[in-house]
Amino acid sequence: MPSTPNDASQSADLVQQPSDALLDQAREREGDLARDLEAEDLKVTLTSRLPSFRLSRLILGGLLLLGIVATFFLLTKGSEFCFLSTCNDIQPATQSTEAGQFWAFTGGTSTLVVLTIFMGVSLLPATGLSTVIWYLMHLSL
Amino acid sequence: MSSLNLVEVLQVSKSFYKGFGWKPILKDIDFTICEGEFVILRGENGAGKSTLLSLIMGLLQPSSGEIKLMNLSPQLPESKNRVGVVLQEANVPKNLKVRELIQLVQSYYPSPVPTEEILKKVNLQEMQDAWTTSLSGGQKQRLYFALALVGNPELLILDEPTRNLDEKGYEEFWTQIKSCRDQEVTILMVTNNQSDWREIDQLSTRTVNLQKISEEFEGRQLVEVTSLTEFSLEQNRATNTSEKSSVLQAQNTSYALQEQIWAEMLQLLRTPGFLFGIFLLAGLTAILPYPVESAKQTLVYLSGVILLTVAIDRLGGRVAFERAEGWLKFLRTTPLSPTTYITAKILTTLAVCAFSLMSIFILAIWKNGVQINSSELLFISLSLILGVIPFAILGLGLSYLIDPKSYNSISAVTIIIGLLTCGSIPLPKPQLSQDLVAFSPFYHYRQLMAWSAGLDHDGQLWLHLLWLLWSSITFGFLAIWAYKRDQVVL
Repeated sequence: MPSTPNDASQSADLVQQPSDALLDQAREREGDLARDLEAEDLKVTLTSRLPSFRLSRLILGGLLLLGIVATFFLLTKGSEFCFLSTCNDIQPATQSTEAGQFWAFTGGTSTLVVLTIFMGVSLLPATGLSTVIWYLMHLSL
Repeated sequence: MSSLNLVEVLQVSKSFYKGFGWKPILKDIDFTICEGEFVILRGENGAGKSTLLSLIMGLLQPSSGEIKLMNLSPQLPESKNRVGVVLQEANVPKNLKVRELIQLVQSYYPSPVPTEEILKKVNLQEMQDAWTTSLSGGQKQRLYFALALVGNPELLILDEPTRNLDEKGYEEFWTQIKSCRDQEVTILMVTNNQSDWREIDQLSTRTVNLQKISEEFEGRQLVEVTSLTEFSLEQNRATNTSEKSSVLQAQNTSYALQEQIWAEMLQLLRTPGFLFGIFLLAGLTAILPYPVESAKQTLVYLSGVILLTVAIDRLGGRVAFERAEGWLKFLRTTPLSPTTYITAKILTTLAVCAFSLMSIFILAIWKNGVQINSSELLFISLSLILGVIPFAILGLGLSYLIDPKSYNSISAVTIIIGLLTCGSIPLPKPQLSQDLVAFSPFYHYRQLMAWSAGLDHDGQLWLHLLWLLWSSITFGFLAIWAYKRDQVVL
């Protein structure tokens, strides 16, 4: 398609722009692009590191807990020492009130709901933690 | 000739239920692929290319019409003995290494390609001991291609295989495709990647255009374009038939089952959250203080809850997870039968249940001095495992029925309902709410547990056993229905 005189004048204007200014513009764009790429790289690195960090934290936590439990068993074997101080004042299960049982159940199930539905914790560890809450409430109420 | 058609699509239509009515995606499609062809399937987004591939691979069932893959129904695992597939959206299991995954998929096929050869073909030798999650996008795509080649396929079905490939991976992919063409492997490929056209022009024998169905749509939905490369049917007939008969063997189901169980166990041992849960729950029986007079009762009921959680989480939870990740979809494109898949899951779950029970009882006897002899222990364990079967089946049904991402929440609610209706929690009046508890399978499970441990129970053992059997059958039908439904609306 033939160019109009108006197009030709615009082209001429572009050609007549100082070459330094064009170079500066190009460098500026290159800089922006490099910064964008750098930011993208950083984002990708952070995203890829996040799950492995969580995983190692979980493993570390699990090992720590196992270590505590193992130490407890080794130290307390054959003694009357209790892991939880409440165990010295155990009330027989039959003596707990209905209201107490209800509140212990509510506490345990609420923990299960919060952990699984709102925090995305897997079912098995969530059930374990909920059982702990239920039992502590069952003993104290 | 019918025997030379690897794929036959006869008058196939497919509609999906959307909004307030059925929306047709494919209408009266007739389409065949002969041995030795390289067919490109094209069409705009939403035209139904992936739906057509899913129908051919047996992932979906057609609304009407008939499909044959290797002269068999695509729903049959045997039809996929010599078919390799690259899916557009599928993730591999996270807790397996590249080599382990290839070996697992190898076990599904009757005549697999050796692991070393596959790794070399896709240039993943250096990454063979890497976790599948640590692979880059291009490397993952190469792994998917390796999984497609692992069964020594006669037919390759590729859905956007060059997506995510880097320059090197792209070149290697087309080198492999050329090699497959030299070996006269039939290929059906969907691609929207512009850069593929150059290679396609040289290699493909036919291009098929799929038109999107719209309100103004008239005429044929599927239009075949010219044969691009000279293709001789007679030549292919002579070379392939003798080779095919020597390669096809009876499928080694027991080997596939062993490998599947091994992969399940590896993944289990590499899931810290699950292990943490098992040890926490088992440890509770020893750590938590409870009165000596009610020790046995607490131990048995706590074991029941743990077993219920393990069964629901391990069986249904795993299926839901693999369904969400798209791995289950990939497995359906392999010759692995659903029975083998579920059997491996059930056996692994049983092993985990047995291990959990053993840990609980050992800790309870050792730390809390619970008085229980070995035969009583065995009897209680068997009753607990028998009683949990209906709930494991329920979990399996739920895993196919609901959105897999919601499985965790739904199973938590199931456990809460179980605790509420098992009869150990005092329910508020009226009496009706307490009477309704007798209909809950959880109540009968609790009574079975009480009977096996010699605890206070209502003495209606046969009623409880029959009720649990009835529940197993009901949940079994639910699971089968949900499994079939998943194939229709996938």
